[in-house]
Amino acid sequence: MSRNKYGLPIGIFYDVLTYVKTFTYRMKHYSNLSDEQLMQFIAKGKETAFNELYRRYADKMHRFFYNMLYQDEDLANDFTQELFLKIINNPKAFNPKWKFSTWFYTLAKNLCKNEYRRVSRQPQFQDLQENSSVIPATSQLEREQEQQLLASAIAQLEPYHRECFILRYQQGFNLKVISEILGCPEGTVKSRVYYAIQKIAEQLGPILNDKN
Amino acid sequence: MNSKQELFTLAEQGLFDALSPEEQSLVLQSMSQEYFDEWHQSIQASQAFFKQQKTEVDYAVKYNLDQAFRMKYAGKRSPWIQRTVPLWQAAAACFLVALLSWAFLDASETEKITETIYIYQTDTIFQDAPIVNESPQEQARSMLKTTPKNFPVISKQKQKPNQQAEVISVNFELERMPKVNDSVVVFQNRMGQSVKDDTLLMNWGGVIF
Repeated sequence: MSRNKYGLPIGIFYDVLTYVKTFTYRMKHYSNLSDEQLMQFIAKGKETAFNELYRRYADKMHRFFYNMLYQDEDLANDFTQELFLKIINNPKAFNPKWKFSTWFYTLAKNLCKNEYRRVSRQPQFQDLQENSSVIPATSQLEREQEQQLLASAIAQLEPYHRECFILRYQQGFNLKVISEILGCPEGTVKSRVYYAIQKIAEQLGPILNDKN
Repeated sequence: MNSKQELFTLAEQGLFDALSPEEQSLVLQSMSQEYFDEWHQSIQASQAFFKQQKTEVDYAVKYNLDQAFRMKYAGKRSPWIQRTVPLWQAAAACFLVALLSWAFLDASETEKITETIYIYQTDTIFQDAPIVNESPQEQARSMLKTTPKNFPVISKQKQKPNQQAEVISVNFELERMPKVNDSVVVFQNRMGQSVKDDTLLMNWGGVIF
C-alpha cells in the first residue's frame, strides 16, 4: 500500500475524499437518490426530497386513482393529495427495509378500498354502453367509441379485478409485485387478471369483430 | 404454462398465429383462436387507452401539499436542540455554571486588591569578594562604583593562583520601610513627609485601611 510522508496510507484519504464528494453531490441532487433514501430525508423535513418524490409519483398515482375511482378527475386529485399527506404527516410509518413503490401502492389501494366501502357507487358508464351503437361509425368516432366502451368496461369490473388489471396494464407491474401490493398469492393475481381480461374482451368483442 | 389462468401472458405476447405450435395447442385446449385474438386485441387496446390518458394532477394539490409540509416542518429545530435532558442533568449544569461564575468573580476581586499593594522591605545582602592587593575598603568602594545605586550585585573577579582569597561581608542597609500586614499598611515616621501623605486621615489616625 502506498503511503504519504506521514506514514498514512494514501488510499484512505482518497476514499474519504470520494465519500465526501459523493455525499455532497447527492445532497444537492436528490434525483440520484432512491425512493427509500428520499423517504429518510423527508422524515428529516427536507422539502426538496419531498418535491422529488412528488415529481416521480404524482402523475402515476393520479392516473391510478383516476382509473380506480370511476374516472373522476376531482376524486383522483383528492385521493392523490390524501396519499401524499400521509407521507408528510407520518413519514416514519415507512420502513426503509421495504420497497417504497410497493408500500406506496398498498396505501393507494387501501384508500380506494375505503372509498368503495364508503360509497357504493353504480357504474357511470351503463347508459353510455347502451347508447354506443347509435354513434355513427366514422374512424374518429369509432376510436372514441372504443375508448368510451373500454372505460366503461374497466369501470364495471369488480374492484379487486380492476385493481389487478390497472396495476398490470397501466402501471406495468409484474405479477410478483402486484401480489406484494395486494397482499395476496400470485395465483390469485393471475386468476383476477384472467377474469378481468375475459370481461373486457366480452364487452369489446363486437367492436373488435366489426373492425376485423 | 401451468394453468389456463396464465393464458393471458401468451395473449400479451401476440396473436394466435405468432405462437409456437406447442403454445397454440395449449391455447386451443381452453379457447378458440378467434377468442384468443380478441383477448390480445383487448389487452392492446387497454394499454393504448391507458397510455393516451392525459390526466395530470391539479396544481392546487401541489400547493396544498407544500403548505402542509411547511406547516409540519417549519418549527422543527435541529435534533440536538430538540433533545430532552433529564432533570438532574439540567440541575447539575445550573450548579456548575453558578460555581464557575462565582469562582471567576472571586478571582477577579482578589486580583484587584493585590494590584494596589506595594511592598517595601529591608534586607541584608552577603557578598563574597576576593581580596586582591587593595584593601577591603578600597575594594568595596570600587565595587560600588560598578553597580547601580543602592543595589549591590556579586561581581566575580578572576583569582590569581598565588593570591589567597578571603571572604568578607559587606552590609548594605537599604531604606527602612514599615511592615505590611495584609491589606493594612502602617506608615511609620512618614507623616508629613509629602503633600500626599499629609492628609487629614493621616493626621487623624496614621492608619489607612
